[in-house]
Amino acid sequence: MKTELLAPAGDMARLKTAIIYGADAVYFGGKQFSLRSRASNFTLDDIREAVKFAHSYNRKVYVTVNIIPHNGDFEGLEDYLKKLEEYGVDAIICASQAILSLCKKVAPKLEGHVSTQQTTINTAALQYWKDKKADRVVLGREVDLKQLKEIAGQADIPLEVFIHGGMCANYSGRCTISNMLTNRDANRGGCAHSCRWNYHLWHNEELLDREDYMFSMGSKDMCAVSYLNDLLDLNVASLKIEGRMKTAFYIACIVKGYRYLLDCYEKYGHISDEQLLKGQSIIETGTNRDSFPGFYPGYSIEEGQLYNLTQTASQNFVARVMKFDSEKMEAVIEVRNHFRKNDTLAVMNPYTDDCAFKVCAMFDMDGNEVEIANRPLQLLRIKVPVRVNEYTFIRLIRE
Amino acid sequence: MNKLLIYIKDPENIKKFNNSNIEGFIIAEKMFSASAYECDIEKAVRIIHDGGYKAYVKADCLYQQFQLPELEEYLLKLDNISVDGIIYTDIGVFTLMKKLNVSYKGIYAPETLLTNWYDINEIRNDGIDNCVISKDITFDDVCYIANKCPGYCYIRIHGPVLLAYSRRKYISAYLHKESEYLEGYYLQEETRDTRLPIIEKEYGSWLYGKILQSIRTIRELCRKEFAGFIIDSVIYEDDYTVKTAGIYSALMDNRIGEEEAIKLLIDALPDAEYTGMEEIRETWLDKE
Repeated sequence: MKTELLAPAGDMARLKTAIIYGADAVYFGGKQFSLRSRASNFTLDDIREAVKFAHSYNRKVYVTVNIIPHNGDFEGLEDYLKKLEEYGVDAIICASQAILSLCKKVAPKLEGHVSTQQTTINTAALQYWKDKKADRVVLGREVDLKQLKEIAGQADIPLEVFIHGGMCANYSGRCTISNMLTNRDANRGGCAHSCRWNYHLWHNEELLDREDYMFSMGSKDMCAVSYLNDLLDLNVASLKIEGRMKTAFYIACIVKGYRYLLDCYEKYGHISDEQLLKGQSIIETGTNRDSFPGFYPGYSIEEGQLYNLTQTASQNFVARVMKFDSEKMEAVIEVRNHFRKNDTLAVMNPYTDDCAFKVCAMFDMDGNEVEIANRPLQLLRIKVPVRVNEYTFIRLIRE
Repeated sequence: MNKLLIYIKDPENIKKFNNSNIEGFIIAEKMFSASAYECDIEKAVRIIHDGGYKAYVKADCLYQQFQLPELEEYLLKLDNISVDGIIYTDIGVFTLMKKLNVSYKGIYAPETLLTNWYDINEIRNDGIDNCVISKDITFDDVCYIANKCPGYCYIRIHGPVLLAYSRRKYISAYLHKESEYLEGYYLQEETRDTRLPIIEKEYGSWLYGKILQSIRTIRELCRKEFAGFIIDSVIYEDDYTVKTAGIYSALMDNRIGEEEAIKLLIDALPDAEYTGMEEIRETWLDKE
């Protein structure tokens, strides 16, 4: 069985990006029954279109139905599941026993994957889900590699593990800090990420705040590149990237990097150190958040915590391609972040190395030469060194 | 009639409880729970049984793969010493109990996952003996569930609300020093006054919120058919638990009114911050 690369999709554009850049499967939420309520999410019509697009590339589509539901949340669920099955969705990702069972009953062609919200971290819990006829279980991120080897060795149900992206500081699904501090439901799509806020730490009446930064539960992001060989050796069913709220550029970089690495493994049976470095560098173009390998090396108090959160989004992505004239090798681009004439940019396409070029000249749509591209969504004409298309990203190479 | 299950740290303290509404006591072994208290489970069960009560054991942890062999041994030991039930957080405990064919009952208490009747009905069909309803749903939802499956669910009526459970050792990480057990620590969000108790053990941290109380709802709850009411003041001393159990028992027997009960509760722990079960609102799904 070939291990799947599973990518998030906050909307249709990001779904297409994930697939074009090499995801074997994508997951997203519908307008109802899904966590990440602030991700754009998909209407039923969008879902039908998404399935058509993904299946045309022979890729799979999973829909998250992963809220921890309250009594009133079940209304319309049966019809919704039937629609997902009718539209050809491959699986739902759910965190509720009742939703899993209902899915098996009313939409039997849909696979039921158990969400990480259930925090399955041992084979005894895994057996429970197998008995419930789940088709796959997403393990809790707290499982380290040593334990994963043991679990994978005993499991007779496909396993999905996280390899990249944001991490819940607490066991997923077992946290209601957001509920208490903001009344926004962490387990029904409203998480306010209160774990990342600043807190004073007291020991009885003694204040223990450090001078340099306050206490926070926030976590660094996961990046498991250095454990990829081990994970692939275990032949888990799926390697999951987190981030339904992330940008298309982020998705493109992360998926492209991991796709490259997975292809190396398939081709050579092992990913070399050099290949790991190259994959890591592709991934890093999409993010500037601190990362660590999650719990794979085992829990360490020295690793993983994120204090004094001041990191901002990466500004490497500077433009999207709107049109391309192959005869003139000229593109119309839409500006997303500022850059200047004579800056070095790179064309990022799927499956090929990025191609750097210097911006010798750029023009607005009236033909006026432009020195600084600093107006978001402005259209500019520039010469590009390779063919580009709507899925190409133009990024800035910082000196 | 709904009876009380009460968590205590020291089983010798059961003598201090003097009311007829108690079904049993909950105890916890340090290794398999959030408790820090060294408890000789075998002796504790004997004391509780000698007092004429049932003995329940709390296992409020998620267990890592390497802990399973010890957990199996522990579950068998509980059978050998004739505990009456186990209150567990990890669904894997249910699988192991079936495998080991133990004779005591299992009460599934995942804290956050049993928020509706459909899931509770589902786990009942799976063969799980009883459950504890999640604490973060409204009083109306609690009553709805109780009406739909009479006698199946326990409800936590008093005790600090568990807000989060993590594999991480937050205090050690921040202070750059590691200890076997850390208690007496609190987090205070930088713009708020409320202090949230946090404890840390070898395999993680538990963060608690205000103390949930059910003074104004207990009589309504008594009209529903629950498996029982739980008082679990896990981070407070037994003397406080003795007082709170007395207050609820007096309320249930109509010996005192709600206002007097509130006053007694405040007197029992003057600095404590409480939240009433009736104050729990339906949560929002997004930023309003």
